[in-house]
Order: sequence, then C-alpha cells, then structure tokens
Amino acid sequence: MCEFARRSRRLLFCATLTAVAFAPRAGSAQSVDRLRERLLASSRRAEWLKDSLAELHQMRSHEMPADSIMVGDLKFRFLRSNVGDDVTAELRVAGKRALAVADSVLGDELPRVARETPILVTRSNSRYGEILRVNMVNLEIANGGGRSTLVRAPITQGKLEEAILDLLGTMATSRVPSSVVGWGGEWVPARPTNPEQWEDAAIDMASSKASIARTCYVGSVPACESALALVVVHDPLNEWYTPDGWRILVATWMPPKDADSVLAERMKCLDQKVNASCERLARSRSIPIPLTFGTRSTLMSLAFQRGGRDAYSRMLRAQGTTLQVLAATAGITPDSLIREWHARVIASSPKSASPSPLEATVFIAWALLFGSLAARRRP
Amino acid sequence: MFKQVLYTQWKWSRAELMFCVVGAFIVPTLILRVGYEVVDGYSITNVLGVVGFAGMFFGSLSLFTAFALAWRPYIVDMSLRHVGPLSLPVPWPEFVRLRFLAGATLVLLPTFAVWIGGVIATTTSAIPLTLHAYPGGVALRFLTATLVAYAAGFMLQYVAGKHAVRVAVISFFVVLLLALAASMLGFENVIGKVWNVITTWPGPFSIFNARWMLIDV
Repeated sequence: MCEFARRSRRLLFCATLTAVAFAPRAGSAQSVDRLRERLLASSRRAEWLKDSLAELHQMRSHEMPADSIMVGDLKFRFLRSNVGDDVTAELRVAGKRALAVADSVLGDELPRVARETPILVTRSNSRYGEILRVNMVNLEIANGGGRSTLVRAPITQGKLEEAILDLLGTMATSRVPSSVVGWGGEWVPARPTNPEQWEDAAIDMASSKASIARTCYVGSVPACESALALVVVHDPLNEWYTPDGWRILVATWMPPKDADSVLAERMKCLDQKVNASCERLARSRSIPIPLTFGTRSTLMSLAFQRGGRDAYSRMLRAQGTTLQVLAATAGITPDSLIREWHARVIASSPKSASPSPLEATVFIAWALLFGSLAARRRP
Repeated sequence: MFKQVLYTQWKWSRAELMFCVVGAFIVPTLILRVGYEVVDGYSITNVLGVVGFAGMFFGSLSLFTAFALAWRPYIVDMSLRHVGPLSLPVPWPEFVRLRFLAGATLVLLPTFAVWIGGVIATTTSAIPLTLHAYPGGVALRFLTATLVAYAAGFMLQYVAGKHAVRVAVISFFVVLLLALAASMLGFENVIGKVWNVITTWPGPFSIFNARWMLIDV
C-alpha cells in the first residue's frame, strides 16, 4: 500500500513538473481557442489530481491502526513506531489543553465536533546533508481532503496545541451554514480571539484602502455591515471605494510589460489622475474586500463569546443571512452585535508610542541596575 | 561635584550631542515631507510606511545617542590612564555613579529635540482621518529607550574597559553561530529563548521592540 502511495505521489510530482515545463510563458500571445483548450485540459488534470489525492487520503486512513490514542473525544491515529513515545506524550497533553480552550468557544457541541473524524499523525525526520535534519509532525484530518497542519522542530506542546485547535476549527465548519463558512474564510475560530488579533483588526480597519472601512471606523453601523460584506453589495467598486481608492487599487497592480494600452491607461490614472481610466482598470480585476478574513473572524469570535456555551449550537440551527446567523449565535440583535464589535475594535487600537507608567518604571529600574553594576570594576 | 562632572561630560560629548539634536529636530520633518511627495497619501499603508521609516530613524538615533554618551567620556579618561577620576577626593564607585547620572541627564537634550521635531513634523503634514499624531509618546519612548541602551553601554564600557568593543563584537558572533548551529541540528533554540526574554516585555530591550510611530492608528 505504502509503496503504491509513494509511486502515485512521485507520478503526480512528475506530472506537475511536466505541466510547469510545457506551460506557456505569461504574457505570450495565444488565441482564444488555444486558451480554451488549455483551460479544459487543466481542469481535467485538476480533476485527476483531486481523485488521486482522495485515493491517497483514503489509503492513509486505512494504513493507520484505529484510534491509537484517545484524548477526551479527540482520536489520534498513528503508527507508534513512527511517532514515538515522546510525541505521543506531548500529544496527550496538547490534546487535553486544546480541548479545554476549544470548550470555551464551541461549548456543548465540542464533543460532537471532536468525535467527527480522527486526526492522522505522521512524523518525519528528513536529513539534508550530513548534519542538517528537520523533525516535523504532520496532523491531518482523516477524509478531510488533505486538510492538514505541519508542526516543525522543535516539537512543543504549545505548537501541537495550536495545530490541534486549527484542525478543530476546520472540523467545526462542516455543519455550519455554508454562507457563514464562505464569509469567514472556510474556517470557524476554535479559540478565543487574542488581543493581538483585535489589534490587527483595528489596524486593518484604520488602514483599509476602502472608504467604507474608514466610515465604519468613525462609527457608522451600516458602513461596518457593508465593509464586513454582511449586506448585499451591488457595485463593490462604487459602494466600497472612492476614486482615490480606485487609484490606489490600480497602483498596487502592475500590468504585463507588453500590454501597451493598459500601461497607457494606468499612467493616465496614476499620473494624470483620470478617474474614468482608474475605474476601467479597477473594474478589470477582482475588487478586494475592505476588511480581511482575519478581521471578519473577530466578529465571529465575538458572537461565540457573547453567546456563551450554546452559541455554536445556535449557529448550527440558525437560518437567514450571515448577519442574522451571527446575531442568533450571539443572542443579540444584529445592530448591537456590530456596535459591540466596533467598540471592541476601536478599543484595541494600538496604544500611543509612549510607554505605560508600569513600563517606564521597569525600564528605569533596568537602567539603574545596569548603572549600578558598572561601578563594580576599578581600572 | 555633579555639576563639574556634568560640565566635563557635556564638553566631551557636545559634538555627538549636537549632531543628535539637529538630526532629531530636522530629519522627521524631512522624512515625512519627502515620503508624502513620493507616495500617495490617500493610502494609509503608504503613510504608515513613511512614518515607520521615521520610527526606524528614532530607534537608530536612540542607540547612537546612548552609545556616544556611554563611550566618549570613558575613552577620554582611558587615554589619560584614568588619572583624573582616580585623583578626585571621591571613591571610584561614587565617581562612576556621578558619570552615569551626568550622561543620563544629557539624554534630555536630544529627547527635547525629538519632541519638538515630532511636533513640527506632524503639524506640517496632513494626517488622515483614521490616524493620530503622537510626538509626545515618541519622545517619552525615546527617553526611556535611550536611558536603557545608555545604561547597558555604560555598564559594558566600564566593566570590559578598553576591550568593550571587542567583547561586544565577539559575543555577538558567538551567539549568532551557536544559534545557527542549534537550529541546524534541530535542537531547541535556547539562544532564541534568551533573546526573546531580553527583547520582550519585561526584558530591558523590549522598549525597542514597539511601534515608534509619530503618526499611528
């Protein structure tokens, strides 16, 4: 089985290399028919790759002995000879800690989520040359279509815990309404949002290229809903961005060197500030979302936190738009949820560069300590 | 006594101090002016990039000021074989304390220049709606960071004596090599952990590990 899997992987690797080698170079002229043929061929190859991958994952789950260890409701499957006793012990502790953290978010549904599918664990110790070796542990959701997370050396409980939490977040998405999963970036947070993530959200909101995010920053609830893509947006370019924003969007994109007309239009937009040119160019590409998926996940996380232990169960039962589902999860009205989220984001804005009184005291103490040590040696 | 030590320290370090004061006064405004000319000011990311560049200047200036103040008086004393300090009617530890305090007092000059320079730079630039100016905050961070770096440099200089630079450079490379070897051999990076301890709160150098932003969210 193993040999077959290795061969299949090698074949796939060769096929990918061949495809890359014979693929046309970007920017070369091609007819529409030729492009269509290539596109069809590529999608066929993608299908084959998907089938082969599914086959490989299927095989790997059969290779592993069933339920090598169980930590609470989490099942880890692995070969003891491969993983070793040290990582097994670390996995036990990390699993227990991850479940405790996820319990605060997923609440009563956690046992069901954790039981859903086992996690396959493989350890590899690759050698590069004589002295360099890289120790890695791969955690993968069985039948999860290859959804996995890699832990690199040094393998620590903390890193394993983070990896398990990531996988629990992925497992938790399976029963969540698809609109919410798509909105949240195919992931449900299985751990509470930390202060750094809130701070990132504040920076994201204040520094977004979209004017709608700036309007949200000053406190408009409808603007926040639009910036978070929680309401239907008919014309994202006009509803999210102003002409200044169009120019920034165009500036961040470099067209191919041989696309003369596009380059001329870009110059018109950037140098002469012709709005029509900016709009045409901005519309020719996908319009970036005003706030990142990371920022969206803070809203989902707040909904879980606000909703208590039943929040996740309520999310699974909820119906309607993404905003309605999130509000039902939190157990409050949509406007209150957005207002609370906005207040939380603004409160998480990075503090001024000034050190706090406590910081200043500690640093001055350090300075005095260094200064007093200096007098110890006489020339 | 302190007045005399302070005067001597000022006399010996005034060139470096004036250089720092003028730099702190002019460079932030220059960086913001030139930066705003080059980038599109509507993009907050661009603005923060320009301000981050000014922040890097403040961090570097802080280190430069600290080491200039720590290094100069010792070098002058050493060239005279420490005859002056050792002939004074105060014990050596007392003299070192006075020297230390004198240097720390002189840090106030560039700090004041950083504050005034920051105020000029931010009042003469257009600040986007979602951003705020923090010249006072940057000046306070500059003062604290310079004091910590000055104290560390002062300690190194007075403990290692004339070999201070050699000790610092050799230690740096030894630590770097050990860290590299440990990571190549797949061992847990102890040096990385030690580095984290001194550069993250409440470590002494965590003061440098922050946003030195004149204009920020």
